[in-house]
Amino acid sequence: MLNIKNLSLSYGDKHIFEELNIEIKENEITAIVGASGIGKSSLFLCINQMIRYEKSYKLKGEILYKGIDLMKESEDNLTKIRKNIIYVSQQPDILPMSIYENLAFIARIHKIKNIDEKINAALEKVYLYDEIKDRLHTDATSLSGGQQQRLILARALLLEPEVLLLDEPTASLNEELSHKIGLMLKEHKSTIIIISHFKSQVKKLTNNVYSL
Amino acid sequence: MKKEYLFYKIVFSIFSFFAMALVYLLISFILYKGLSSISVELIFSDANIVDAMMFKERVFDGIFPAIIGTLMLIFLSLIFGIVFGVASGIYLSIYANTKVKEFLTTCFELLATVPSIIIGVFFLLLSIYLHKIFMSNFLPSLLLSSLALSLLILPYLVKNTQLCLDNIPKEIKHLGLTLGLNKMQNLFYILLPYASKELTSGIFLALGRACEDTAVIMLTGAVASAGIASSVFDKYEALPFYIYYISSEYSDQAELNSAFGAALVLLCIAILLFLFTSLLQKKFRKKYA
Repeated sequence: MLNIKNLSLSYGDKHIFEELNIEIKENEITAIVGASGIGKSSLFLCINQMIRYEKSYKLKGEILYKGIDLMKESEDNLTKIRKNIIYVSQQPDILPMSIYENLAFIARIHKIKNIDEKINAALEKVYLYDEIKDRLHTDATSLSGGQQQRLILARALLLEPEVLLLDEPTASLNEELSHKIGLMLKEHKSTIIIISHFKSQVKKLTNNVYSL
Repeated sequence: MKKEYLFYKIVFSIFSFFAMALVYLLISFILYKGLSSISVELIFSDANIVDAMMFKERVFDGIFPAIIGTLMLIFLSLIFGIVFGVASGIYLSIYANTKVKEFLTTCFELLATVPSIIIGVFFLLLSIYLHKIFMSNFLPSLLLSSLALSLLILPYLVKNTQLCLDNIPKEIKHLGLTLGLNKMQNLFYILLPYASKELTSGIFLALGRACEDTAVIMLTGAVASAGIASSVFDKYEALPFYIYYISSEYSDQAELNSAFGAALVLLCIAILLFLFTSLLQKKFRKKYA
């Protein structure tokens, strides 16, 4: 599904990682663990090629997605590919509009049908629907950190991507919710790559663990 | 530490108080002088109000043509200014590379320092040149004034648009791209709505600048008694020019008072436009929410 071959990333003179080789299996969870600042999030930016918009970064190697080298793809093709490789950042990138609109706007642009049903389903999947069903049309920025994190996860699920890049998806959640979200991801049928600080956390989800 | 804090608090309060007092003094002065001279006669003279408002009867000696001229001028200048200014700001913030950005930013900053009279002279000479070489019917007009005014407000609109877009947090700036949108979709669906409030504030500030400038319009088409322009190629009347003309050539106190009346009307137009912009801001926010 996704093959990272001899990938090296440097920022100016500083090497972030070198000769990285990772094989991501289809419809399985793969975890990448490592200490802070080691380049885990940068690896995600390499996979979805958002690294192109960052100055002073140099990238070498290959990132093969279904046999296509993403590093050689044009911006137009990458736009189409990024719809299938959705990145969920650690910092919730919520827009200053209603909870419903935060999900609906992107669904409308991508011409997703039955938007309301799918939004409700996505919110239920991340265990947010019951908490906010009465205030779907209120400002999303008033949600707590954990709720915002689940909202952007719901936004990603709504688009039904082939690959989900999750950067510390349960960092702001309590133990019970982390466990529930973990189980949901395990049952979710798509390729998932998770970044985490702790091996023990991701061991519950997958045996495909890479250390950076 | 506490004493130092108190000292600075008092110093800054005094400065803000004086600034505020000056604004109130100015507005009170215009209100005091203007209110007494505002009348139906000042606006419509002896013309029938309904007929004048339906543009069936020409108003001589009243400021109604100047009010309409000012509104037309602001509207046209804003259209030209917004199209070129916002587009340039978007280009500078999103598409331009560092070298082009530096070059264009310097150009717009230089343009901002050009006195309005120079812009007026430039457009006057341009119209003379065009009149001689290409179009014999191209003369100082509402269109020429609008173009000149839009050039005057262009640097503000460019800088404001650029700053609004540059100040969007990085994670929001690239959000659309990570969700599979192209650059144009990201711009129109995420970045511009996100910055809409600040963008409209900047447009209002530019609008204020366009409202008050006299130097540009007196050289490019504004005259004392042209009536309401029937096309953009006609000469026109405008309130700032009326105020300037009357206050520099008045023959008695009553005539000078009519300039204060016109100043009050101009102030009201500015306030109304400000309220309209605020309403737009709220509507943008509501739509976005």
